[in-house]
Amino acid sequence: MIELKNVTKKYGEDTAVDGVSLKIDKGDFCVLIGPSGCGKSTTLKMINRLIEPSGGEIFTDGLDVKKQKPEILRRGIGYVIQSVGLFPHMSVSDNIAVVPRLLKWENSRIDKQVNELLSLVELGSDYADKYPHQLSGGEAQRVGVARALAADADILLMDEPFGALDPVTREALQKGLLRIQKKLKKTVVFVTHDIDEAVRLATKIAIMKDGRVVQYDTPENILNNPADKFTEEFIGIDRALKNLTRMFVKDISSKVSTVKERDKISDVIGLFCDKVYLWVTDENGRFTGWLSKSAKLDGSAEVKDFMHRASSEQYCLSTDTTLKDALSKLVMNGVVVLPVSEDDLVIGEISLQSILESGNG
Amino acid sequence: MPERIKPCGVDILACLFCFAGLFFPTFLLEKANRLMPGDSVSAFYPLGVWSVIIIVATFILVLFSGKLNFAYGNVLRLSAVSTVLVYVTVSSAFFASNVMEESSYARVSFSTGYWLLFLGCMLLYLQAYTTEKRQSIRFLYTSIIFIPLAVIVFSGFIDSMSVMQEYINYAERFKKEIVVHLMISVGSILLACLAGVPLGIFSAKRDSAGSGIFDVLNIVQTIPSIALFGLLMAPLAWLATNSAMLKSAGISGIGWAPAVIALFLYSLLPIVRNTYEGVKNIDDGVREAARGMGMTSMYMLVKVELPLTMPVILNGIRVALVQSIGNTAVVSLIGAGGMGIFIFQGLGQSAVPLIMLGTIPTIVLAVLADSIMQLTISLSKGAHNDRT
Ligand SMILES: Nc1ncnc2c1ncn2[C@@H]1O[C@H](COP(=O)(O)OP(=O)(O)OP(=O)(O)O)[C@@H](O)[C@H]1O
Ligand SMILES: [Mg+2]
Repeated sequence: MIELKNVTKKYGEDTAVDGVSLKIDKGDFCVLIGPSGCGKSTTLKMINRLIEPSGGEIFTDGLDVKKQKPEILRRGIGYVIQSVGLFPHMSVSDNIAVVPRLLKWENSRIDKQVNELLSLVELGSDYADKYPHQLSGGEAQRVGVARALAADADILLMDEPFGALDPVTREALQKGLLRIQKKLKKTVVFVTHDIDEAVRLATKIAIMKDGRVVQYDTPENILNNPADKFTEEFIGIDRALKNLTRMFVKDISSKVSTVKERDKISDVIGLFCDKVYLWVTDENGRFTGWLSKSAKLDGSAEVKDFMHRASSEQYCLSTDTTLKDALSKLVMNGVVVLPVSEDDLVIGEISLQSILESGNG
Repeated sequence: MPERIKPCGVDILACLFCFAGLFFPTFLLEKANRLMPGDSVSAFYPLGVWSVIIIVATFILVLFSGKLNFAYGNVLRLSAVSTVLVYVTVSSAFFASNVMEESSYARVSFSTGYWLLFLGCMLLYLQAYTTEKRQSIRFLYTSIIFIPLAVIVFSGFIDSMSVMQEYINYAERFKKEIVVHLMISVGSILLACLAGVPLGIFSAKRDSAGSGIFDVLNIVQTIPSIALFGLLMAPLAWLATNSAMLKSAGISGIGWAPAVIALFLYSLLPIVRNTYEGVKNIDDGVREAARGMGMTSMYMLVKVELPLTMPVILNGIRVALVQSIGNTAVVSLIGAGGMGIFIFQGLGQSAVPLIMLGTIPTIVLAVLADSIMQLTISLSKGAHNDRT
């Protein structure tokens, strides 16, 4: 748990951070976001005392940070920065082992920890002996994250960690971080100025402006009820769509009965009820197309004689797709309903209506 | 591929020096005794016509194989150059011993022609050395050229040459002075490291201190060495007369004390500057990460900043050391000894062989020190040396 009470930082006459109070609960993923120069990094760095506040108090796990030696405090807080800052003369494993060595862990424990962390950040053990100059930007930042997690600190501070990466790599690392956070449940403070990144990762978002926190709430609440004009503009007019990036197909997918290609039409015609389409699968349950409701259907024929064949790639939504992407696929195909598949098997469907309803909720 | 066989500029120049040397009328100088004016001896006497032709052919081959990049091409070329040097030197020595058999007072010395040839060979070596990036291969080049020369010098093959005659006359003195030379130059560098590295780190960490320190060091660097000795003489003499302890430690206005202090001052600039640059050039992110992870300033200095800066610092020490070995050649002027003893004595007597006796070891020491430092630097870069 981290608590900032009325924290202020002044540089001469200028106030970089102006009376910020935040309470970040254990296991929360708090994203600080705001325009450049609004004091995000300053706020973050006051938590591990890289910057000393001019006023106010900061507590980590109930302890006043001022009462702890800065070095000792920092060893208990993971820290990741945009430029990564790997030590060029140390191998990947030595980079990860820095804090455990500072804490005088035994070598066997360090080795075990390094191996676990490498696999946690999805780098193979063959990366252990590489040097930083041999890594891509994405790989380097994975090592940066592993290094910050090395001493099992409960708190993780991240200052635009993915800011310098290309969009594809950034998304991969965001997914990785979400997975790690689900497993380790750290208390994370994460700085970014990318609202999409914030919405994707955060459990709490603090929107900052001119050194102040203008709104501190869950992403859903911020997207649905922006506190003021500034916040509204900052999160953008597509805030409804942004909300959809936090919801997944599996959350609103509804179960449906599917039909097989070899089924007789007369046996399946009753399944339509008020529906227009029935999803058709092969013998193994894989999507192969659909059957449209129409007067021409001949009860004695088989489904495959009347069905419309289509590729699952184009039409099926997987369960971990975001609702925003699902909506995009509906629009792209010009339809109101699409099948949902898991491990290639059709398990349900999702309709435009259901997305609209959850988007408003 | 006619283009690729075209020799490069430095190689052409080097071979021109070699040819000029071979055909210069005064290749060696023969004197009836040590003080008489000498007679010119052309290269054809010690070498013979056929050897000269073969040597010319060898240099032409070396010249036109310059751009052929087959594996170890330069190793072969330098081996040929080294062979020629050894052959010419030993043949000259045979010639000299024949002359001395006729009259034991007669002296034969290397002269303009020989030294031109020698210079040409050195240019070929330097060209190969500077275009090669791998330290181990550079070391190999140095070995190919200098080990055979060292062998013929130390095994007595050329004792009949007047340089070696001078050496034999001065052997005791020479051994003593070369130790003095090394002690003064290496000693002043050690002191400069002890003071310069902390000073460089300090000025990198305190921006305000940095520029003041560099102003002073830059001014020191512009003072000519003789003038600096002069400047140091008076205060040191004063110290010695006023402190019995300093005096008993051997400190006085002349001798090793002003020499070491002057060389120490000259060496500071390259060492402080490289340390400063090295520490300054460390990525800010690296430093922020180090601090953010809970390193103390001392731990960060020892485990991060110094290891990252070490190759740059060592390079500063290399420059200072080579410079210091060269500068030590003049400290005999203030009675501090070293190779300068022979150089200035030789100058006084117009005895070129004696000058050479002081000059050649100075050059060899400088080249050796440079190579050893280069090797140390590449070792210090370790496994992350692909970093630029
Ligand atoms: N050492 C310093 N001295 C004076 N002013 C500073 C210093 N560091 C930061 N500031 C000022 O404090 C304000 C906040 O800086 P901070 O680095 O926290 O911004 P930020 O929100 O992280 O911006 P960005 O998104 O660009 O990283 C800025 O106006 C900056 O100019
Ligand atoms: Mg910032």
